[in-house]
Amino acid sequence: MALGLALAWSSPGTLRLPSENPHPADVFHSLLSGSLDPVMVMFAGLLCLMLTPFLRVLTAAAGFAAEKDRTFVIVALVVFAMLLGELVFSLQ
Amino acid sequence: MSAGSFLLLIAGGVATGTIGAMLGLGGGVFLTPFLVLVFNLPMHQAIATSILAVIATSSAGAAMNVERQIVNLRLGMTMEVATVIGAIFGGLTANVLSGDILSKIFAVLLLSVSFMMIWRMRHSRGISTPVEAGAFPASFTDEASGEVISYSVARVPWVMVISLIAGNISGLLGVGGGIFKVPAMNMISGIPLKAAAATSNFMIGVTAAASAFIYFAHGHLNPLIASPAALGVLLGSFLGVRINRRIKGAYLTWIFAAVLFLISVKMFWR
Repeated sequence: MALGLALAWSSPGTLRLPSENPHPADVFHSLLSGSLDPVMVMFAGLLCLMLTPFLRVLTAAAGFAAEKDRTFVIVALVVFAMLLGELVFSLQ
Repeated sequence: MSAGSFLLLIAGGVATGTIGAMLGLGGGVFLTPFLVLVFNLPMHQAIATSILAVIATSSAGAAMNVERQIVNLRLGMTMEVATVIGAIFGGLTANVLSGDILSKIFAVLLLSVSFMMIWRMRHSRGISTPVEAGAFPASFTDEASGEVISYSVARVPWVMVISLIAGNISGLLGVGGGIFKVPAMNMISGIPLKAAAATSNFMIGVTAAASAFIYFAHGHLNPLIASPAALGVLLGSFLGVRINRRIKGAYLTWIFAAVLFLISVKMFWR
């Protein structure tokens, strides 16, 4: 996000916001192709931030697994499945 | 965007992040009115930005709170099942309602919560359920008093119902849901305020993520607004957690009630 803002700051005249938010796959494809479009970099930062809670739930599940607490491993995985379902449903 | 607006967004993010982390709110309660009242942003965009800020605050604060062993992870994850369901439905509902209706709902909810908190402070100074009396037993050291506080959770089904409602409101208004969960966890289940705030702070990021992609898919996320605001909130949340270590639970509640009341009045007369 900070990099995207810095890029946007350095090239204010060329900044173009898309008419609608791009698909996450397009954002990451744009970055992997070597493009440093400030808007796409900012979107990538925002998407990474939005995905951190997913990682947090998985980490909690791993922690419960390490403590051999099966019940809470299942609870954490149920939460993760719901988050993943919402992500897939939203982006369809 | 002008340099002044950019700096104001970061400053607003820092301020709302600091307060949010101090109170276990996630910052959304303060950021949404800030964006709507100061930047005249459409309500849906303000909510989407606020949801991002909630995730940032929670990510920063949760790691520190888990390390200090204040978060009740098992309780939080159990409540999250209900909260995520509520948040998904809240996000879907918000995208059907107009910005004006959302603004009114926001003002009314904040008013009722602020009055409830003021009433509560006149009748109670926070309660704690003994370890043997409930589920999810846990303990933590209160850094302000140095006391080891042991507790358990009473009336778990009621906490789940509150979680569902809080999640729904979170998805609908981008407020994180901590404003409802923290007092409810204390008043209904006897969870000490600091443990309730830390557990809530851990949860609200996950709750916010449950509706974030709905707003993203509807095109309500403006990266030029959301990026500086979220970065400011992230910075502020580190500050807030550090300040929180030096403040006693009762002070937190007083600040919580007073600030909520002021914001609700502002939003109501908008």
